[in-house]
Amino acid sequence: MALILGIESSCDETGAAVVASGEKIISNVVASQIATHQRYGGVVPELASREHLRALVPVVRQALAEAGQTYQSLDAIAVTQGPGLMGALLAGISYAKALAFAAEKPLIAVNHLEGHIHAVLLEAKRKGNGQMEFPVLALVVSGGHTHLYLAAQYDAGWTYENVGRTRDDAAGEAFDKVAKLLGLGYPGGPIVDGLSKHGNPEAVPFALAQMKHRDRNQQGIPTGARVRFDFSYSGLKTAVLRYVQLHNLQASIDARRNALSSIAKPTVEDYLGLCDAQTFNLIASFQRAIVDDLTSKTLAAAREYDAETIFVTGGVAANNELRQRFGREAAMEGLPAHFPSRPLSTDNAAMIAAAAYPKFLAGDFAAMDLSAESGLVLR
Amino acid sequence: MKREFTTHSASETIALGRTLAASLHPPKLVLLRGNLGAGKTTLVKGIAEGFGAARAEDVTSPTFTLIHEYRGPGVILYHIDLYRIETQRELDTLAIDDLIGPDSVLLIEWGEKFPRFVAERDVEIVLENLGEDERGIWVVG
Repeated sequence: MALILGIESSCDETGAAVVASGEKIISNVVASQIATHQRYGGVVPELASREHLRALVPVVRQALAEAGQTYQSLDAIAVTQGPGLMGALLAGISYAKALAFAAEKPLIAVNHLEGHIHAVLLEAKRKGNGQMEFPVLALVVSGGHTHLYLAAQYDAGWTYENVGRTRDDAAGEAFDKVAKLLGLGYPGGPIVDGLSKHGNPEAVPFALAQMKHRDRNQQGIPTGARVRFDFSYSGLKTAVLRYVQLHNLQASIDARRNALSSIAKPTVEDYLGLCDAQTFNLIASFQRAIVDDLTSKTLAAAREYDAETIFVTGGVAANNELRQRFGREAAMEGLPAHFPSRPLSTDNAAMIAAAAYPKFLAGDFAAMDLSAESGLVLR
Repeated sequence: MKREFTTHSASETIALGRTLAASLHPPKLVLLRGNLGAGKTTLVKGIAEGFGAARAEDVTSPTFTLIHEYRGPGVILYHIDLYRIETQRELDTLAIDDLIGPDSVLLIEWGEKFPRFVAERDVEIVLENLGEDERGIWVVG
């Protein structure tokens, strides 16, 4: 058994976790959940280096305490190298390097996006079906990312090829911006998900940009590269805004925003009481458009690349309609679709420790001059 | 100096961004103002291409990721989105001052939320959705 401490600090959340041999979560702590951290500054998102620095020590201590481990009993220390916010990444990397040096443990650098993919494997292994048929097609979909990766196995580890990504807004960003546009709260994903079932998803026809194409060079000539399946959600956001303007919904949106601002923690009932049928229909149609687009492009890519397995991961993978649709449509094509558990859908450190395990086995350790890469590419 | 443009498609907005890049010699602090869907990120796609720092399709929204960095010949382009940043304390943690240097061009969305950027900006670009695909774009400074 190999015990790996994972540290994640790529964007809003500071996390630490202890995972055994890439499959058993011993502890998994995120800063926003722990009281010690709240004492240090409350619920401000961990936007950058100083916030992460403040959170790292208590979070790592708690992860070790909950796991009943010490620095000495660990086998390796894994940390997110990128992609993410430079200062935020550097805080985690500097701390992990110091810890690895002091405790004389190997240091492992992990790509945040590979972490999301391994969150799916963690859940599959927990259920006892960790054996995957390759190639795996992984949709990583969150507030900051919308990517399609084709994954193959290479020795103990995985290699990745990007076959699709967003050209503008990530899908999770569209959920949040549309929720805000309609006077609903933050984060928008769970609210839109909860309200969608009260509307008619076919009430408002939203057309999404179709971007399946072969890679072309600047003269528009195909480069002979493989077919890509890109996404675009900026136009959908603008289409919702246009609908609001055309149907004069602004006054009722402002009223809803005012009413919600006086409620500390709005419940589903609060939201339900403040929306009319037209708004429910708009929300349901918006969600349907995104879910349609994510599923149809992912399945088209799976056919193009003869994928044997589908992974859906990242914050938006917690969306109920997306899970149901993928489960159903992938099954119709004879493909198993796997998701992370809901707590592991969003950013966490357990996925970083899990993704580090194959690198641990391969002896793929980071040098002590490891630095952050804000635009780190997954290969 | 105030210049006014109208574009009729996303590709026209990108083309305008390419030509605007020539007037944004570093160092510059540029405020990008406009509502949701006004075309701020679309314009940045063109500006990044104009600087030879990125292909238009590689420029994506920094709303969640907060700061995107693109490097071209003689320029470091920072595309910053303060949409999620509400307080001075949150802004301080981003350490935007560390990004300002002789080769840097900062393109800041929602920077007008903080008086400091309004006072320090070299150029202000205002975008307005005129309906359908038409956008009015004003460049001041």
